[in-house]
Amino acid sequence: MIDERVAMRRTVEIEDIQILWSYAEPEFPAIVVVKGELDLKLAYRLRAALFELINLLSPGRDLYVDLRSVEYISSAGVGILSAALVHASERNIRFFISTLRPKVRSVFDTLGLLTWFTERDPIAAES
Amino acid sequence: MLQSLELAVELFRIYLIDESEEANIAAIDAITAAFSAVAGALFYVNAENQYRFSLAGSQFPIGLTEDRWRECINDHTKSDQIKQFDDWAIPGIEHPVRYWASSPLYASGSGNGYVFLGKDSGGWTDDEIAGFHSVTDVISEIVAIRYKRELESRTRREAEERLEAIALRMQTFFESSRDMIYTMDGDYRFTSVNSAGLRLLGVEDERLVLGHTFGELVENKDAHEFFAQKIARDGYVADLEVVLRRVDGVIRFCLETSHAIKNESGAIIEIQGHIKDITERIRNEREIWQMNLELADVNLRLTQTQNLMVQHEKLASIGQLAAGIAHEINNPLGFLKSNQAMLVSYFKTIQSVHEQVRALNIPEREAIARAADLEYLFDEADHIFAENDEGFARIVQIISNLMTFARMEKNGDFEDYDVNEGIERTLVVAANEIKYVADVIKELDGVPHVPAHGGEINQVILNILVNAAQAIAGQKRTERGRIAIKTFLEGGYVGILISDDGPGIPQEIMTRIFDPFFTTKDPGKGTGLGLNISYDIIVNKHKGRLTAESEPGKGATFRIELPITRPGV
Repeated sequence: MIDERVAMRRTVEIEDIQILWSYAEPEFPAIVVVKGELDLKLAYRLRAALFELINLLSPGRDLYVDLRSVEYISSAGVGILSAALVHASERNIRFFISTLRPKVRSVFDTLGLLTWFTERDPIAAES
Repeated sequence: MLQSLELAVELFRIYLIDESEEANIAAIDAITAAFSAVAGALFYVNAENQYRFSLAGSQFPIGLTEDRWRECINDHTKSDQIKQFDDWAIPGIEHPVRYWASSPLYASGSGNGYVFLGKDSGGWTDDEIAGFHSVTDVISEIVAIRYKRELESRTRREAEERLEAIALRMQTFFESSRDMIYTMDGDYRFTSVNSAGLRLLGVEDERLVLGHTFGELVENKDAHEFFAQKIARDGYVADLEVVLRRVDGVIRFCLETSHAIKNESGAIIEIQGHIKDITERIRNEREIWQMNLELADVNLRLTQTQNLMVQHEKLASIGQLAAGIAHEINNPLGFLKSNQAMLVSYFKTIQSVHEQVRALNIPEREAIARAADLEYLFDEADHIFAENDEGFARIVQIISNLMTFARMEKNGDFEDYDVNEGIERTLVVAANEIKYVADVIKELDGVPHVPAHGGEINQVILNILVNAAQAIAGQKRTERGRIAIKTFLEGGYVGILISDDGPGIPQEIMTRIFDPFFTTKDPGKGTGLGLNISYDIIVNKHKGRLTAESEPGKGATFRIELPITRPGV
């Protein structure tokens, strides 16, 4: 039974974006890990990945965007995360971002959008 | 020969002391005089590509059109040797001269210059022609050198003019650009900055910028740190966003594109960059993002409130329905009970009459009584009446519980609520869910009444009891489960502990059980609102506390605490 559930987990990697989610385990959150520079180019890839994932997840599930390895974020990156937060809210999906590096956090803060996000680090399910 | 030598020396002297074009006039004057000619001219194309000639005895060199110049040359010269011809007039001189000799200049034979000499009498001797040849050899070398120098000078002047034009264009571009343009040295210190850059940095005098780093000019000292890392690593940055917090508190969002110039050993010697202020654009975008977030938030709250209201309404309706039915049953129950009492009373009378008849000792009476088994009937009837009384008492209790359980506080005020009584009444309502799966162990202390909406607190207790019963039932275990209810008084709060020995709650979802729409039940079995509404009732409405503990596999415990005094009163 447990093996079947684990088998329903999925991992996808697109450039500096890694997506982990499971069809079968409500307690196993969907996690999107972003690395490196979240510039304009990567931001648009992230947008596509997040929106697709949000549409895929059933309502009530948790979605974490792990930005702990992001060393630079552009305003477009913050904008796309805001748009994803809005979309997640419409789909009744809880949207979290991991704790942010000070420099990344200051961009969120300067844009006045930090308070909209809940910072919580994802705990990956044991495989 | 000596004459030619003297002339050559003279020509060297002329060209040495005078670098201007007028030297050509002095030269042709000297040549004309040396050969006792009456006319002399030097035709040439100068470094400016102008077609000119210098006439002996004149003051200034004369310019011709190319066609006119070539017209003079084509018919009267040979490209590689001296040509003699007769009767010709130099342009601008009206009187023709009789005997002419012309010689091409320039050893290269490029045809860029010719010497013409004219005599009126005697013609040209072979010696003179030979001398003329020697002289033109000398002069062609000199003129070729001068031409080359002129050409170089012209090329240099043109290059300088081009450079000046480029410099002017670059300076205009640099100064009038609306974006910041700068250069830095290898230590990231500004070496130049335009006026847009000064405005962006909020500085008036460029001396306050030159020699300084970005970090020294803005409040967020690390603003350019990532830029420096990228430049050092990649040699360029393209459209990198940099946020500058100026010392006057103004925040500017910038888009920077720069590249590094490195020396042969790879060290950066200069950085040239361009920074665009995109603050306005970002401000507009931020407003849109903010608006969308606010809209989504309002929308979410509306949906949640609507769902909560629907659920509250549903529960209230069920309660009201139950109370209504209970009330309807209560009326016939009243007369049924009354009739029962009357029947008992009538029966006692009949029993008394029967006893009196038996005392009369009528022989037939015994036979009739035996046949009808009257003694047995009277005994059974007593049992039936007793059972009926018990049944009526239970119905009365259930009806009373139902009517009280779901009562709606009419004016919304808190009432005195007896927690223990509430538990008892709720257990009656929940009995059907619990009785087949678990035993209930009660430990109800004498606790004071609390101000509360009793109906709502009963809903919370019912919800937790039903959850516990369903969790135990879901285990499909062989032995019966156990639900313990305990009340206590602690620190100004009346507490209710409801524990079960079901499967418990997994640790990872413990923080979410009070969230709206969170459920682990199968679709259609739960709304995910029960505990959320319970939380709302206890914490928000009654200013109490609702917590849960669980050890997976060993059951769960919910703790309700209600203040014994009305909050804020």
